[in-house]
Amino acid sequence: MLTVTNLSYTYPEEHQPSLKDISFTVAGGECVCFNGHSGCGKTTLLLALKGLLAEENLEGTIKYGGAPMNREEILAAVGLVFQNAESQLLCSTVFDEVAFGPENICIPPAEIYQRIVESLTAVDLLEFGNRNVERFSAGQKQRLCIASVLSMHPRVILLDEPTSQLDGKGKSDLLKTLRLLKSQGISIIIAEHNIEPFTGIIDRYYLMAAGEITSVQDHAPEEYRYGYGTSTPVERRKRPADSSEPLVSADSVFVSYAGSANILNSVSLEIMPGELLHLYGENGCGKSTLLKTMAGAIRPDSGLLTISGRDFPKAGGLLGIVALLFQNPQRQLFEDTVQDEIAFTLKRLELPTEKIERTVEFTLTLCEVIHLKDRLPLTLSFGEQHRVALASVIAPDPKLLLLDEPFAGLDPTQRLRLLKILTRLREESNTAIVIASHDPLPDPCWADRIITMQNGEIVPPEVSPL
Amino acid sequence: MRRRMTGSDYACQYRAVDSPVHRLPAGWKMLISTALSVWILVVREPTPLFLATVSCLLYYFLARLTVRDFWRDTRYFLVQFCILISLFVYREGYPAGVWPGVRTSLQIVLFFIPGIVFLRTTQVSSMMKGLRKVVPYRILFLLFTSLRFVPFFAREMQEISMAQKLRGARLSPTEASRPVFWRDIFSCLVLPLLVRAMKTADEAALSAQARGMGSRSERTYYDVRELEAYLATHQKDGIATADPKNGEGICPARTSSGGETLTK
Amino acid sequence: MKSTVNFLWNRFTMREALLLGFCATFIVLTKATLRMKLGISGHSMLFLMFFLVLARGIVPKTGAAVLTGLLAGAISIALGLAHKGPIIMLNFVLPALVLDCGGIFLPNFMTRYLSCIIISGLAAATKGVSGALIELFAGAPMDIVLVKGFFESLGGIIFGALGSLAVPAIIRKLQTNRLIPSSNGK
Repeated sequence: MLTVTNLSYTYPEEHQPSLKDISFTVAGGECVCFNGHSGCGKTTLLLALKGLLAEENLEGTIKYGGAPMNREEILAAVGLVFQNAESQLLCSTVFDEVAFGPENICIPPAEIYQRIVESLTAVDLLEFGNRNVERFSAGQKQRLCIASVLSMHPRVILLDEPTSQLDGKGKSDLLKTLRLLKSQGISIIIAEHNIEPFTGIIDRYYLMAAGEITSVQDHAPEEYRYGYGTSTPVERRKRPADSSEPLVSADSVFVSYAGSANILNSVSLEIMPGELLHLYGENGCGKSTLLKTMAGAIRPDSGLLTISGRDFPKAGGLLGIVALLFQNPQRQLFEDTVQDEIAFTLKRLELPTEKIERTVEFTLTLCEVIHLKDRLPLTLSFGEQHRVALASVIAPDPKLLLLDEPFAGLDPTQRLRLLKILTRLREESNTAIVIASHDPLPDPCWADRIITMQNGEIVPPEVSPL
Repeated sequence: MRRRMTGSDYACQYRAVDSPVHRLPAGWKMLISTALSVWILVVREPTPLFLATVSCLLYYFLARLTVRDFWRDTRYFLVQFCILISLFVYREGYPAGVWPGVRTSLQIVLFFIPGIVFLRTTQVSSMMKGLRKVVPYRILFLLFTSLRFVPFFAREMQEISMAQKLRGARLSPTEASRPVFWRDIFSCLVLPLLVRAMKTADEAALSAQARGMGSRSERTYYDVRELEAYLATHQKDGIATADPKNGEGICPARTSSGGETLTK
Repeated sequence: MKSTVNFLWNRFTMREALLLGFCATFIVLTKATLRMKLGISGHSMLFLMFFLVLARGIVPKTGAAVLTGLLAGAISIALGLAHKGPIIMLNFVLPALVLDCGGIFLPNFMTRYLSCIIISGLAAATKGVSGALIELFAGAPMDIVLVKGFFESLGGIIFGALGSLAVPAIIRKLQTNRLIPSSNGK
């Protein structure tokens, strides 16, 4: 039994507490979920439970089995699976990763072998034993992270946003693993925006806001059920019939990387100006490659590709015409102010200064970051950086905007906000917008058309799961 | 049109063949390499130099390395030799300066040969295993983790570069060779990469701390061959790995099939 | 959230040590990339000095450059990029030693252009020291060793000094964005 009483915590550099009087209990074999918007304190709570926060700033008590534990005991008793599996994995092979924890606490080798086998069996990765983790999918990496934590023999497992990188299959594999752990008496605490995959195993929901628990319920809060917000779906005007030439025309496009099979297999599609498209598919189906090909960053091996009247354009040739917002777009921020960040591409296009200033102002307003214009982009919150990165790619008023998994890491409110911005962009500039994601959109009615991909091919509409 | 990977066989890369040298333990190879290198450097007379040269070459080709490998490993010294011999000739005149120049150049290349044989015949895993005995585990942890993140940062570099090029940054190889565009390399690529590295270091450090790295003055190590033998034994005997239906699994205290209680 | 407990040498926290390891990773990656794409030697000194000086700047503690150099050398060997064998370690560690020594006397040298150029140039010059020592032991006269070393090091010194020029601006940007502390030099 995990018992938390009046837990409060303030980060050393902050004035406001990130956790305020948090109290709850979790019994063995129970699964509870903490929901709340970004910045509400979910991750801080998990770090506190894992004993990774500075003790001098921590108030309240955390007891396991009725007694407080020291850091050494928490190390083994509580396992934490972080949000980003990529940076959680520290070793090159599966066996090394799972053995890492027990080796650190001096478990004898003979026992380590047993733990490795048990942990990998629990997550169904035993057959991958000596493989390099680089080749794993996001779902496999997530499960490996769980195995690496299981080998420490924890009584409680904490998971921070475990589904943020996972597609449908990844989520169902994760759910299977969590069901198994629950049946073995392990307590599970999940901090998550998208709770839909776990509603079958969660016993209790704690809603958090501003570091406090605002309510406790035993049914899934509607706001987080599908990653939707409570506000009404995005309003948009119906797109008028378009008889113009297609903006994008792809015919039997093949793309492959050295030493691998085709990533795109005879892909054919057309995108009209101003069209809103949802490109849907599991991880690894070729969505990102298709976007990069349309942006001119990858040249097709064969087939015909025309973007805005140009055949097989190179990346430089589409500047100002096609824009691509990569996953984790905050990676591209580097300028001294938000204004400069947005003006970067405009300066490269050698537009007149007046036009640059007007365009920056317009884009700042469109993306709802006007109040941040003189701020340092790298000091902004995750959601703010996301909007600044979006602003920086739409500033040149592209005809085609491509977004690769733009909702990763955003809470439901931020996701809907993003869709509203994109809708306004289409209405202002008639920009065609393609969103590639492995989940349904927060507003399922947003797209004019849904294209489903599987194994590098476009699936006929009648077969599509959406 | 298939994209080709730019393949090149780098000098000193491990050569996966079987040879008497390959079978030697890493420690012994290190000792032999050091002894040979020192011997090569200290000899001056023709006969001992000849013997040392033959020994080095024998060591090299005993490792089943080829003449092509030898060329790949030594071609970097060619320019150096030309410079050295030219300086000797300039200093001592022709032909008096030729033999000292050739002798010195030969000694230099032969000095490196045993070390190259070591790298060509020793797998990284064996090297690391040997290093465990002499290098503190915390440094080894840093080395292993840095190695693990090489492909990660290679991908990040590629992704950030692609994203920035699409925004108009001048990062193509042609542009990168012109100093006037170097500002873009540092601002648009290096800085975001550094920011990413800092975030990754934060997360990786938390992950390592969460699993006890650095909590003790020493740590144990598992052996992958023993693990594979363990796996083979247990699969052969049909002994259950954790079977949830039997109530076995990842619990702090449980009983193995052999009746031995294992606690955490 | 960032631990202040020292992890290595009673000096570096785990986060700092990992960050230095990643700088070492960048040294190796840029070395490999330049060799493949440009095939020009000397260019690699540009990024080697850049990342070594940068490492010393973002973790402003004595030993930061040496740790980065050690790890860079070890990674090069592990990845088969050590075309002169294990002795390549000295090519990374010697310049790093000079940088750390420079940091003792001038703790903020990486934030000023002139001090950066001078100390980096000196550091880059040591790259040829291992080769020079081997030549001396092989019996080459001192004057030949010096002349040869000078010409071989010239390209490296120039590129090394140039590479370090980018560091002050980056350090200032990281400080402005509160990603590294503003005060330097320990």
